[in-house]
Amino acid sequence: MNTERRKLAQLLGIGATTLASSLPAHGRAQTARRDGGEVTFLLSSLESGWGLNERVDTYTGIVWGQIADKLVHVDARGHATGWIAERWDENPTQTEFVLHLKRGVTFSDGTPLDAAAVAANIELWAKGDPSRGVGRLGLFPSSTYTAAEAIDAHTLRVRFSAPTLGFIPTLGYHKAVLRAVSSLNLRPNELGNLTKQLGSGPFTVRSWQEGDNVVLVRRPDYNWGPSAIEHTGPASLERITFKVVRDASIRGSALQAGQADVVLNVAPQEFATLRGRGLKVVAPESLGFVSGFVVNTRAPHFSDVKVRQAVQHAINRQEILDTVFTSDWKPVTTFLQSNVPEAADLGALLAHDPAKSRRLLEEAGWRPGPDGIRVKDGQRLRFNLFASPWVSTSRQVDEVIAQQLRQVGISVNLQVVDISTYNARVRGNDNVPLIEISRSFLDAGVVGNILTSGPGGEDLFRYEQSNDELNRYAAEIANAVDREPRAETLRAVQRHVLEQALFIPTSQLLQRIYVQSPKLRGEVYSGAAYPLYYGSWLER
Amino acid sequence: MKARSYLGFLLRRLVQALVVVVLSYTATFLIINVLPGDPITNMLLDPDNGFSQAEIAPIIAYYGLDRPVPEQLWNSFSRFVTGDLGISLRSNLPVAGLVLEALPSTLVLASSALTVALLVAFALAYGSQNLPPRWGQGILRSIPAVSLAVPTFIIGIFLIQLFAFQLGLFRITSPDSAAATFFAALALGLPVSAQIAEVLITNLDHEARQDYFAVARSRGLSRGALFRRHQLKSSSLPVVTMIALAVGELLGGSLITEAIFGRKGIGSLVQSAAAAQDFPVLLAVVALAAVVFVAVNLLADLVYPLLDPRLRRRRGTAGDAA
Amino acid sequence: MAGIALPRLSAPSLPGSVVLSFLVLAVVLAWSLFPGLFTQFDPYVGDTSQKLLPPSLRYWFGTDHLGRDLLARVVHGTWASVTSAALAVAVGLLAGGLIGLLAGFLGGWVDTVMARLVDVLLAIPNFLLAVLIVSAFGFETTNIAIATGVSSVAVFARVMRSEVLKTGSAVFVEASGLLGGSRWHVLLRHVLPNSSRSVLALAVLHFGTSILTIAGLAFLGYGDPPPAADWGLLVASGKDYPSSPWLVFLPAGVIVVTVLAVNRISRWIRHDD
Repeated sequence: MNTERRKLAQLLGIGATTLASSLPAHGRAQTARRDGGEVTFLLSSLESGWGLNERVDTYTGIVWGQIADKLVHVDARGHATGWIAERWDENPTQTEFVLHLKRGVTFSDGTPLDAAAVAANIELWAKGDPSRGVGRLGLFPSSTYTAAEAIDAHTLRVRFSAPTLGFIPTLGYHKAVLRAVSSLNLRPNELGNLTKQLGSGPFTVRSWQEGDNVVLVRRPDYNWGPSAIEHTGPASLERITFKVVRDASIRGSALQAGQADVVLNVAPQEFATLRGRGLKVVAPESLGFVSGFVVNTRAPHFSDVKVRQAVQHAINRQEILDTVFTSDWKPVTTFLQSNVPEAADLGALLAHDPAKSRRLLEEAGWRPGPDGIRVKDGQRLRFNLFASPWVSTSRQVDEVIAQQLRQVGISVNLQVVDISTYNARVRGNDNVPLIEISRSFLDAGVVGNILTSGPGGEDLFRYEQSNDELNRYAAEIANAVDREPRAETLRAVQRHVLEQALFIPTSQLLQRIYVQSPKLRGEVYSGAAYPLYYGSWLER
Repeated sequence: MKARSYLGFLLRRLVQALVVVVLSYTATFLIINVLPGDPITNMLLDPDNGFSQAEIAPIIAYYGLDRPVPEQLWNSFSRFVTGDLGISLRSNLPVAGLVLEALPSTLVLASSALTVALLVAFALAYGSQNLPPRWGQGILRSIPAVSLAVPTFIIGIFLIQLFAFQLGLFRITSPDSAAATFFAALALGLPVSAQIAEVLITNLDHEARQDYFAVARSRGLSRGALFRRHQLKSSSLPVVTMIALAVGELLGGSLITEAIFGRKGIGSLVQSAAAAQDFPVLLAVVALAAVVFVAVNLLADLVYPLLDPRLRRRRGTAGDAA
Repeated sequence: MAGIALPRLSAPSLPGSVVLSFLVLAVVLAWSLFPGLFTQFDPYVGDTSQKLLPPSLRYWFGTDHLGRDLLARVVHGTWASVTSAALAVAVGLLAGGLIGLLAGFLGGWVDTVMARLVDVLLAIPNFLLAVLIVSAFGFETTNIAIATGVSSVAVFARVMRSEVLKTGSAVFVEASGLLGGSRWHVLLRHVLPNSSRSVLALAVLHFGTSILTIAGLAFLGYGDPPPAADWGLLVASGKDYPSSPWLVFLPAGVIVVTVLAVNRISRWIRHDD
């Protein structure tokens, strides 16, 4: 079928996910379903262990998606549909939610997934457990969370102290996986033991090796998949093997040689070759921020809006797409991914215009020095740019950006460091002006949290609460009880932030790209681009 | 008399070995702790890891990080001796378990690599003596030099591309299969074989120039018999030394080989620990590597005098220092 | 130092392969000192429309993912590769040489202490030591080079010590001692020059191994960030593009040829054959 129709679907703004999920419903696809078969999935890391909450990362999250269920499924448009929570009620002020759970759901040890178990999970997401070194779940609206209580075995009420529009979508987050109560209460040195981490998902753990592989087999009595997947009963695939192969090129070659069925993330420049061999490149859209930089306005020179705008217009985003990426990446028009319902079309604010950049820098008093680098008051316009250690293409994008900024007289010193060095040198360092962001979310209300240092605020631009406009926007988003007015505010925020060049987008963020055998069919992706293999099968 | 002097030698070497292990542990510990602050606290304080002040205290207390460095070293070392290697900061699992899980795979890889290395080395050595001088010997003799100049990861990448992906002889996804292990062992063992081969060939050449060699040949011994009975026997002692020294290289080389071949072992454990600054794991692995190296070399030293009577005599007088 | 027992440099005694090796080394040296003479391309800023081109008459080594000429990157990366390997050798030579000299010359308890120190250095596999050092001090080529040097200290110390013992007992040294030269005078004038030949051979050999070790660690991701162009880093970043194999095999070829040449010269110094 597939590329042609997917391209069409993308043009229509539907995204790969919707099409894939609707596939099993079609008669032709239905007849092709085959029971059994094994899938080998290669990825670059399984290193963060199997602990709770924030221990789930982009890699282990893919495994968790198969062995544990979530309360809701959120699709690529941010729309939540029933899963373990069949349906839910919310009060008009968005402070109280009643979840109605599916009946007869059990964890893989046979214990029931009931309201008490769900309440225990929510409580731990919201608060963590400091005595065991477990942090809370970052995206969970903990600051307004009050309590989760079971009304009966299949109903529970969750209360918040203020309007919390983002609660339901957050339940579809890849880290919000439902675990058995016994798994939640493990001792610290057992939290990472996957054998003891039980879920209620369509697959269970057959064997695993820390940091290397996990072998899953389907659960014969599973019958409670998300309503978004039109498949009932146990999964079709018999077995899924997740295996770490660090080297991207070896992952790609293994796929070509037929030694794997799906590989995560190979260099985009290899896509053409892989497609040429008949393989399929699936780049599901994910909800969240685009790839780009948040500006620290306290960094030297970057308190000046003209310098920020000069950077904004010096970047040639098309050249980045042409050099590092492929046509799978769409041009950015704002700092939210294009499938986020609240995303605005502000492409004009991001136009490549080096002449304008030079003019802005001249106006700001930066004159070209002898080597072409601009100088003001004896200081050169230069800064350190740290490539994100979490995004494999970040280094290459930053290399291109360094070249582009050099052309308007800004000297960029690219730094590529490991995660711990990155944390030590970038986090909380007011000398680093541009901080790369690669964050997914399921509800755009998160945008309100980055603007200021108010309650639960991350203050990414480092104005604390000194910028009246940002303060006003943050309050409006936090207090919203209705999506439409909030979307209005969010669009205004996007314009303001881009005009002020507080966020410098570079490209669409495709953090998880699956290159796979054309025989693998019917998989569904969550709104954060995590795959669910419950409904998929292998063609003969 | 001889037995007693051997016993004394054995005791002295044993004490030396223990001293070296203790010093290696201390050195490793100090390298980790030389920077201001300590890595474990640094990591816990990283906001990304989601630890709060209240959470950090019990973990710091577990490692005794609030105490002076010498005391920490003593605590850590006494735990090490009893087999408690601490808890991995990355995965929340006991380090001893992680090491035990990773060890068999690396041992299999290293011993296969050593076997491959010896086979290749002896084959090259044999050929260097018995093939037609100009073409056969010349080519064979240049092989060790060339393979010593090729980075190990290039050998690994090449072997995988050719034998796994082009010829389909093994699957990269089941790296513990016999075929995959063989090629991984080949990648790891080739540089070691080159070193052994160079030493062997030098020794064989030396023996071939001795008078007895010409005499034996004139008595009509075949080249093969000569090789086995005379040349090889007298050249095997330096090989024992080379093998003992190669242990460290095999352990270190497993880092690259395991990374390329996707094997789960000590090397990959070290790599992920280094990326995550998982210092309890690094400390444990380095200390264990030192123990293994010291033990193997101790064994070689103890076997040596038994093999060669000349050495047994000399041992009494010669120093045993560096 | 006067009196270093270098092999005779008279042309007729030089084997062809040694001449070739010196030529290779001369090219490498020239690349590292005057990279601009060998390429007109910018090694750091590429023409992105020319990315991933195979080797051609215009781009002898092809271009990389940013359209940079690979030959220019190799040439400009020579300085970093050569200096990091040289740094490793310097660390090993100075520290190891000193340890071996003191151990061999002073003997007694100094010898014993130095012997244990060397045992410790030998006991920690060099790759592990390097990884340990970079994870404590940061992922940088300089740290890698120092770590590589530290792990070679043991070998230098052993060779130096045995050379000192050998020449120290030589007749002419003993004679010089009898003639009333001080111990240190004997050390400087006789022992050191006479032991330098094998130590020099070892240093040259280690220059080659250091290039390989540093490249290996860069391959594992412990080296400098881009746009650095160390040979090891070039291979490491090239391996991500398997459909452009020249990105791996050409820089790797340069490494191999250089190390081969260095090893050949080392053997020639050792044996003078």
